[in-house]
Amino acid sequence: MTVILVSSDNQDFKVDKEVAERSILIKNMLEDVGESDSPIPLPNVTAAVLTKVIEYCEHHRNDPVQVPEETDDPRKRSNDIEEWDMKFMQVDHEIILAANYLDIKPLLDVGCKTVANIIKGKTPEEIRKAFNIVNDFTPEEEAQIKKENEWAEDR
Amino acid sequence: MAGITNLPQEIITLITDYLDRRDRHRLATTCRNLYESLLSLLWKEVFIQSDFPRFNSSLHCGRVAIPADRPVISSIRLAQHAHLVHHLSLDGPFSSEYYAIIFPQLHTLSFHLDTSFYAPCDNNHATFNHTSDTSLKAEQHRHRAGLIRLNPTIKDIIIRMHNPQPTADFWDAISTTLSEPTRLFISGLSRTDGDILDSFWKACNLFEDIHCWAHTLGDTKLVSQLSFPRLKRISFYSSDKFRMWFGAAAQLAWFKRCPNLTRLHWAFHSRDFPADKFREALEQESWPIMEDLSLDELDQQDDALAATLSRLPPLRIFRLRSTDFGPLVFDTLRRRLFGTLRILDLTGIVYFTSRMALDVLTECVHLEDFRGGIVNAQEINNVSRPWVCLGLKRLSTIIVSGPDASTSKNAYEALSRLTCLETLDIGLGNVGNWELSILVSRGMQHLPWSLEYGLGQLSTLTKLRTVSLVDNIQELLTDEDVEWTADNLPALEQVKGRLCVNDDRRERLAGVLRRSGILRVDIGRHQSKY
Repeated sequence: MTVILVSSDNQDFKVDKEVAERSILIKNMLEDVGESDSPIPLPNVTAAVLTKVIEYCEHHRNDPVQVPEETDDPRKRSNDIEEWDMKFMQVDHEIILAANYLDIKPLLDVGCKTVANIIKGKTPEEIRKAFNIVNDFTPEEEAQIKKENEWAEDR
Repeated sequence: MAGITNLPQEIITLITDYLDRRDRHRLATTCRNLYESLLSLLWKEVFIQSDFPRFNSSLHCGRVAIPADRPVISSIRLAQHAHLVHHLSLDGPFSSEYYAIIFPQLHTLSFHLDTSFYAPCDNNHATFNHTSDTSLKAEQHRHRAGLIRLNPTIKDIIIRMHNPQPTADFWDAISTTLSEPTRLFISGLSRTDGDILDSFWKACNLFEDIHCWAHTLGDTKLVSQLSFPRLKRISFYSSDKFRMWFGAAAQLAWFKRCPNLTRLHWAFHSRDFPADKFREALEQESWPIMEDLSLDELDQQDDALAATLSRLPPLRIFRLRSTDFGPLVFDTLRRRLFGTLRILDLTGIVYFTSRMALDVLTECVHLEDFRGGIVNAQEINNVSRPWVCLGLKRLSTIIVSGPDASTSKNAYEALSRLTCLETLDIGLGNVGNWELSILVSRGMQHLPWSLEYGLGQLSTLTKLRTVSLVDNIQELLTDEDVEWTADNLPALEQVKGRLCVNDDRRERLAGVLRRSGILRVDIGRHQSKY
């Protein structure tokens, strides 16, 4: 069985129901409307991003449903990204926004881990470069924030 | 990837879950948007270090440099963000404004009191004025008491201190302000007597969890009058040399009046351990719900110690430091504890043999954390029983390789079945000098971290996060071994231990590890113990 998804720029995507239901949002919508052929509009996702999201869901169509892991560690681990996912995530933040909107938890997790891994170990200047961030602090403000928080991890 | 600043707050929060404090701070320093997003995280824990000069001994020598990158937060900025602060740590003396702030959510207050003499000084020479120094410290204690009185939400108090000791008023501030606090951590309490001592005990009387490192603490009748109604966990380390002080017997009498103890960590740096009374207390089941016991400096002969411990309750956590550990004590532990132990720490015990360590690994089904001992790979072969502690998360033991590579392969095979392992410490960083000298004197070779010796079998350890390696002075480690480590242990975050002697090569190997996402690589600074 297939469903039709419509991107914000009005392109239709014909997708296996099983694949589309990796998105909890779509799954809930399908359950709500019941048996119906009417296309599902996704006004927050462009065709370019939706193509990528569908590619991800195709690849992970047979994954078991994620169970949240119980852990005492306040800091989560981010170095366990699958190789396919790592290559896949060489895209921009829109995919994370789409994963959040469509409620695809594993994709959202991989996106956040990828961003975290880019940040890790970098200086503020390097982080700005990596994400094209414009420094809008005055030099005084920046110095103040720096000196207020610059303390070693083990204290 | 672009556009991180356009992500909503909830997603920024998800990302920062994967970052440590330093990385969060650096991210917040990039622009206003991200700073605002991270504001509550950044101010949750505040650590401020005073810029008073300090000296590392009371002989006024060895001035400790003030670190250039120490955090500096003005009292005005602190007050502005006070509503976000959960944990405040004040290191050294501060002006009174810092102590006049109300922190509505303050949970943990940490004081690092005067570890040494603070005094005004110029660049090179300290100019001491003992009177002003003493009055400064007295004033600081008054301010600190004031801060506690303003903040009744405090649950945990952490105090690291040196002379002069806190005043009675300081302890009174705790006992009159805080209702049902949780944890009191004090290190460095000393020469406390009279009213101050009584006030100290009244403050202690409120807490659930007390960690105290003290010496030459006076005796007072008050202790025997207090009920310690909420006390569940005690860690008490003392260095009383004289029975006239609050000695080990008096300490035991205190513990015995706390039947709800679940944890007792007890060290008494003296020979007056009341062994008979302790045994009696165990026989009378003085602590029916005790699950965590740690005893230091138990210097009894094997048979006497075995008798002392013969009525241990079914503990989940047991730690022992003793020079006269022997087969009788081991049998006692086996009989009383092997069915229940989660954590067993026998680090530094000389007569804890390889066979005993293997008995632990093949009999303690519930064990999650095991420290100590020297395991001989040859004996892993001889003991045909499989290791049953398959839930083991941490193993810190020295493994000695056998006469040939096939023996080592069997050791790696045994390790490969511990698939829950998160920390594997076969390094020498935390072993006792005794264990080390045994290794060296018997010419034993520790298990090489090497594919040739069977390392490749460890690819089953998918949860392994930290590895501490043995100093590799024999240069057995090859590039392939390090590359394998980087590529085949998916959860690995930290590698410790000196990988090789050559500086250039070590840097190159560290680079291999870092490139695969193992960011905490501490393989250079560690000095060989040989």
